[in-house]
Amino acid sequence: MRFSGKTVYITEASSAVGEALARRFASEGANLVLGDACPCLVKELEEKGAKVLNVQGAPIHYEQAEARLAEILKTFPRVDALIFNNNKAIKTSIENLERAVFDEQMNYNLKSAFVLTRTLGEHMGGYGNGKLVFVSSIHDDKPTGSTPFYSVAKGGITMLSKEAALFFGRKGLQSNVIELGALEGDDETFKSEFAGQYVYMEHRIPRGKAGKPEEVAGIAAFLASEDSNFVNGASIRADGGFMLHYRFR
Amino acid sequence: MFDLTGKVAIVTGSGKGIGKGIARCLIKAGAKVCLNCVSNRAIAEETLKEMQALGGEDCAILIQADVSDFEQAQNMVKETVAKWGKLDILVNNAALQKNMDFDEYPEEFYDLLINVNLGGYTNMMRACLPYLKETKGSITMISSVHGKRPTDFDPVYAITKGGMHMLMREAAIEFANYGVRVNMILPAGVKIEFKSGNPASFKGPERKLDIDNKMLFEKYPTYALGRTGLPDDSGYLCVYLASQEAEHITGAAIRADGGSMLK
Repeated sequence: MRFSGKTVYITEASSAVGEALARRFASEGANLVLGDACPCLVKELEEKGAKVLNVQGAPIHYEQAEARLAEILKTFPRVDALIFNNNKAIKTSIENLERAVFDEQMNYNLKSAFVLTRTLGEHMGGYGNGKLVFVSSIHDDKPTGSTPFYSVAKGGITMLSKEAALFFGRKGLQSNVIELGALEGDDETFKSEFAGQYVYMEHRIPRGKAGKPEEVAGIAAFLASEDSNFVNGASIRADGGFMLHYRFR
Repeated sequence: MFDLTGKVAIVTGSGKGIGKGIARCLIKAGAKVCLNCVSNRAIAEETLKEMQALGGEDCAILIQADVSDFEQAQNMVKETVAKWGKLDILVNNAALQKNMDFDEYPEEFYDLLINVNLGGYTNMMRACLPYLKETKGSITMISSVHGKRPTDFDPVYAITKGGMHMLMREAAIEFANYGVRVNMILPAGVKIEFKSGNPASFKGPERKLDIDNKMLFEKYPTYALGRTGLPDDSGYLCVYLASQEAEHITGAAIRADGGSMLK
């Protein structure tokens, strides 16, 4: 098993994608640190033999990230991979933006990634190896017309990953992005008055079906494993071809 | 062609540097420009005099305001509209760069860059939108090639530029409903006027970027065209993007980088 004896920290393990990630890494033998996971998921994974530490809250300050690492190291010897999976999209227009929405989108989706990358990058760099995987979105490039500051944060994530690929790459780490698109439910999440991308969403995917969380987990497992040691600073688009702007025929 | 006679513009961060070059080009094309600085008023006053010498007493005003504060941004816009009766052009240019690595970046600088480079651009767009709707005006954002290519000297700067790329594209699709266009210019290294390599407000450990007078017109291997950028390179593009001739251009990110991204 690729992750036997390794510790993988998955943030936002409460979402459908987060749960699928947790199940996949557990099935490949990883010790898990899960961000805000449902106790039912923890129980399920422990019954299958996984060691799980469930941690609460997304660090958004330097000292919170340091404290999170210290908390993890009480249970596990080191962290081998960070799967940054914070993906909260809040509907707003730019015109009628409330400052609190800007702050929440930027802190949870972007600053949390920065502070964790900084702390865990240094930590893993001390061992000369480790993985940073950012589960992000096609909206690092494609505007939503409905959740603009989600997109802004995702644009930031892509550059964070590339910078980390250089800085922490010299310390033996790899940093990569998964650009998710057109998962089940996304047509509601990103429904827009201005943008037509998600109208008849499934008809815009050549296979005719939206993505499932499990289909994301395999890509994250690849990027967190030694199979991807020469992949660094890359983005893998996981959208079934949605961004090719296919029209149903 | 590309005539801006009678148009009213605000250029943030135009006391010096790229913003000053943009203001100069807009004025040469006939526009009236509100110059803006946040701290270095003395230098901005010099720029104001220079602009008035170029385009006449009434072609420019100077308003000191911190764009990361929405109220100050809004007051600047209101004052500009009070002076000239309307607003046609916003050039979002006021941004910060600290030139520090992951392990040296103080958290307050991270917050500052997000607040200025992304918050400030957002504040100015929101403050200007009611007036731009009336004139079917345009917004041009000055970003950087580092919205695509990492810097390896300032991760937070690149993060804000990656975010800015999406802010531009989201604004373009939202404001298209009002006939307001939003575009972006991506310069690479630009030779600007401060001698020390960093602005006076810079407080972090100094790591001077490799740009100085000697390099300006020498063969410099980073640039396919052989020189670093100049403020006017972005300025001329701003004139075009704000002009009637660009009425079909929105959501575009145009590099003005001397071909550095080819290298």
